Amino acid sequence: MEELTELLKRSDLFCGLTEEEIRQVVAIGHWATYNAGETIIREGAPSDELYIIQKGLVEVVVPRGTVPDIPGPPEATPVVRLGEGQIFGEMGLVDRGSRSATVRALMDGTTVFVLPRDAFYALCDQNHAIGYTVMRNIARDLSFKLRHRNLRVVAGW
Amino acid sequence: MIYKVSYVVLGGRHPGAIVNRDTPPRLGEVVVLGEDRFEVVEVTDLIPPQGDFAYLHVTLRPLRRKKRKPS
Repeated sequence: MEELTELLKRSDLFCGLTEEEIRQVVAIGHWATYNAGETIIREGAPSDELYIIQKGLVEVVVPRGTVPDIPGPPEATPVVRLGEGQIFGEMGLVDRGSRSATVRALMDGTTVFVLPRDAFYALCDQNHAIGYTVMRNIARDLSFKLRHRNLRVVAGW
Repeated sequence: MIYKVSYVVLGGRHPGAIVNRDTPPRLGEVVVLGEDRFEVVEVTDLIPPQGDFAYLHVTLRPLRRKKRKPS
């Protein structure tokens, strides 16, 4: 448990939580390991978990444009790679919508901590300080990713 | 301090990456992302630091891949 807590402290998702609060989060999640090329989440699937990368690298791929009047990429397109300490699946945790992208492991042994949404919401209901802090950190992470995306658009011109 | 870095690659072909580092990126440093090598050409603060985390933006220039020697 202590080792897991130390690993999760390297993710800013838990920035501002006490060790005891991180231990409470660790208690409701589990670990999963993937090999290179394996799909962790698939675009369009129901979303009920958030993932924190403990080791390895993943690639986030958005689907090709499917709505005639809305421009989109002509084929599935990688939009970012995420390494140790990063999170994905957070949009579904927040809005309960279906998966907006496919995420694949790029390295053998890619290990993620899986946080089930319902158990996490129950924990947040019990402890509002955990809920407020983690949701604030998710908002910062989404903002960081949006800034990354904006800068990437500029760099591509 | 943990440095959360947004790597953006010039040219737009590479998707870039977001990773944590234990040391701050420096101009001229060579960064390896998967099988590709890049040179750091810009480092800026993206958002203010929070707790033990600093949030940086790094612009990368692709370097040529090393040619494999024929076996």
